[in-house]
Order: sequence, then structure tokens, then C-alpha cells
Amino acid sequence: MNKMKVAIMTLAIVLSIGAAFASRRSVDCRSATQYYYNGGYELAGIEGTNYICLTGSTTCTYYLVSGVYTPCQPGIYDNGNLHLDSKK
Amino acid sequence: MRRTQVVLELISALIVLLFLYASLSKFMDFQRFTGDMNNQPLPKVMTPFLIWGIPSLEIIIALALIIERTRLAGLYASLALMGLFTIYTSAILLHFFRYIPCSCGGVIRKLTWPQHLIFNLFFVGLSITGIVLQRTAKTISYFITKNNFV
Repeated sequence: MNKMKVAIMTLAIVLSIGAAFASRRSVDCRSATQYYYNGGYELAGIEGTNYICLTGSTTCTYYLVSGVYTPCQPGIYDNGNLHLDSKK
Repeated sequence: MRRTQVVLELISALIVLLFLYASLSKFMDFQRFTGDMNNQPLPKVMTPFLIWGIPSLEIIIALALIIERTRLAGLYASLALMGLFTIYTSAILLHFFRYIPCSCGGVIRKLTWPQHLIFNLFFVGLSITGIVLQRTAKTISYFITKNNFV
């Protein structure tokens, strides 16, 4: 019984660590400079301070890959009119 | 008795898997997690406490569930935390806040908010079942011990 208990817990621990490593993104597009589209591409600023991404099916921010604006975060770009403290 | 212990062990292992995975993925992608927390419709002063508090608490709960002596406390803590997450998810779905933020935490971030609610409710149910089974197992082992000494 004790062996089985240890086996179940060990499996859970190993799986959780493995899954955390496996789901980690190799390159985080959010560490690159973020842009948003507003007729043209403009600097988005710092997430949480200058903007947030609301749930939505569009692209919230883009980042540059070899001179091409590539979608990074999904959602709707909001520059803080809704709730950000910095705009109060 | 044996079957109860196996079920209890499996429930604890599932909750450990959830909390350990969730906390590790937050710490491993801390910048993103901080952004996600800033994205939540909560006062910004809470962010520093939440970004360190939530993953730390998740690890503490996982440890409490692994150690048999603290398992019941771990199950209660798991119920409390998952209950809070469920209330928060329900508040979002009921448009209690002015906007709907992104969901967070590794692969779990890919869930929609209604899926999140079902996921949370499943773990609330698991915690409750775990508490009931753990209390039953404790009572039975108490009577067995008592009868052996009488």
C-alpha cells in the first residue's frame, strides 16, 4: 500500500514538472517590443501600465520579425480608458 | 478501506498535479504571469502580493497534500483556493467586472471562461470528496486503534 502511495505521488510530481517544462514557450514574443494596429502600427507600451488585452478574436499586439509585424497577443487592444490606474 | 485510501491518494495526486503544474508554469514564465495579473480587473496595488502569493500558496498546498499528516489541512486549503477561483470566474462570467480579462496559467490559459468554471468546479468537487474520505479514513483508523488497545 505504501509503495503504491509513493508511486502515485511520484508520478503526479514528475508529471507536473514535466508538463510545466513542456508547456513553457521557447521564445516569448511578449519580451519583444509590442505594437498595436490603428490604421498603422504604433508602439503599444508596457502591458498592464499603458495597455491591456481584452478577450476577443482579433490581434491585440504585434511584434517585429525580420521587419514583418507578426501577431503576438490575441484579444482587443485597450489603452486604458476602461480601468488603468495610470490614466485616472 | 483499501479502496478508499486508493481513491484518496488519487484525488490528492490530481490536486498536487494541478497546483504544482500551475505554480511552476507561473514561476517559469514570470514576466507573462505578471502581465496577466496586471490584466485582471483587480486593483493594481494587489499585483505584487498576488504574483508572489498565488504560486507560493499553490506550492504550499501541494506539499501539504503530499505529506500525509497535513493532508486534511491541504484539502481544506485546496477547497478554499479553488472556491475563490470559482467565485472569481463566476463574477467574470456574470459581467461583474467592467471587462473580461485573459485567463492565465500554462495550458490552462487556453480554456475559455465557461470551460474554466467547469474545470474549477471539478476540482472543488474533488477537494470536497477528498475531505469527506480523509475524515472517514481518520475516524475508521481511530476506532481500529482504540479497539486494539482496549
